[in-house]
Amino acid sequence: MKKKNVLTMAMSLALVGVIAVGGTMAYLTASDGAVVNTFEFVQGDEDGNAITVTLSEAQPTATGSESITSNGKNGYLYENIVPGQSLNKAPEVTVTAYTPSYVFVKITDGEYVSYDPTTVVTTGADAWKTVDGYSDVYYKEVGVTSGEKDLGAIFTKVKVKDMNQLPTEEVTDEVQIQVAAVAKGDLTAKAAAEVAEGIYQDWQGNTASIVPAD
Amino acid sequence: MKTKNILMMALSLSLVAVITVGGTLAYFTASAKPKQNVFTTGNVDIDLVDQAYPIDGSSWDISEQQTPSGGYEYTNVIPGDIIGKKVGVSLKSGSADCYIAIKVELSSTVDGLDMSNIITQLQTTVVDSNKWQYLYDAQDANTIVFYSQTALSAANESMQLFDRFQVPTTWGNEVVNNRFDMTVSAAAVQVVALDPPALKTDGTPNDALQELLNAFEGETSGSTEGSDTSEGTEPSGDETVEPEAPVTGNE
Repeated sequence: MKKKNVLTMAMSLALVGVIAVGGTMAYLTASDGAVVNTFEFVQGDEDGNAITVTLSEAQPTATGSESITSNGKNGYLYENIVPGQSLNKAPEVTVTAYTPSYVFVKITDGEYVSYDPTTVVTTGADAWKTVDGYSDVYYKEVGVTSGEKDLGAIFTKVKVKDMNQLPTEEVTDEVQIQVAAVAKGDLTAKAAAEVAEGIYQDWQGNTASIVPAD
Repeated sequence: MKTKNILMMALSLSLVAVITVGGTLAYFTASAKPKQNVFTTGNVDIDLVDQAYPIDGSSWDISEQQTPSGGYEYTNVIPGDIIGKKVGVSLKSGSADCYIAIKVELSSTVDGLDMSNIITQLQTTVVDSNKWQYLYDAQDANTIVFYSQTALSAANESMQLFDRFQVPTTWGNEVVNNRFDMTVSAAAVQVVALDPPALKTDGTPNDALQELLNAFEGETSGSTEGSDTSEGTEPSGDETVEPEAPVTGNE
């Protein structure tokens, strides 16, 4: 019997991959961009100031027989005052703001003379506000001002201590007023007041030299 | 003794093909059409995500007009502002899985403006350090490159780098009337055959990371393909049985 033989042909499988002629295989990459984002800071005045504050004071009128003259420190020299006297003194603040800002005024009393807090306007539309944790610091908030804005006087009187609290000899005392402005951003008044603390030191301040009467 | 001869009978292969009408015995053949295997390279393609959004209570604005490169113009910015900006990258439809990197470059019209605060924010607070690593060289202090060891894929189609940052409070009056710029770009490289981007033990970029850095240099929208669509051919891959001569047989 003939064997049935099955002839099988070996299978051959040849795979030939043809790659692009001359091509070097490289990893696939991609990129997107560059995209430029610009952040323009507030435009201020031509000197690059976004906020400018000034402190000034018109010549005060005497309440008694004291004489009042400029003291060369941006303030006035009061002479021939009497113990317990209330003196006119009304430093004014102005601000030019290109961005919403806080304007702070800080008052440092002298040993014998102090500002009269009852003369600070703390109510109404023109009120100066106080800051939690800071004494003798007042502030106002302003938006972008068109030109210079007058914020008015911070106080209008200072008081001299009574006789038994004054020294016998002539002494010069000072009430120092300092001003600072801080761009508002999203700062609370308190946070801004803290920033202002670092700025005050650069100010000369408005002072009143007070020479007690003999 | 007679050797046993093994009679080898010739192998005969008889195949009887029953043919249709006409009964002509025909070769019994089988064949398959030559197979053409086509190798088409895929592509890797990404979109840089760069968006601006307002934040309540801020005094800065987003200009309606975008910058020529498609970025955003913010105005009335002051130190301390929290800026609403989303930066990320997304996979384009049809793209292969890829590793990605995003480069952030800072510059300013103020000479020597210190950008280190923003760089530090990106390194430590605004960017998720679980998802992104960074390359930063103090020699090129205003540029930082973030890369991810997690790939973009169909299951992870987009990744955000950050969604806000703060204008440094250390900047002061010197910035008034000036501006600073943030330029962002993205790069991608295929996942296949590459380890995730990383620095080698010697501190140099591995292949994937180097490919990403090189891809930034192109910096135009588009993808590169490793080769053109190509064809591969092979001979009949199937079993072919082709007796050369007609055979008859009946077993």
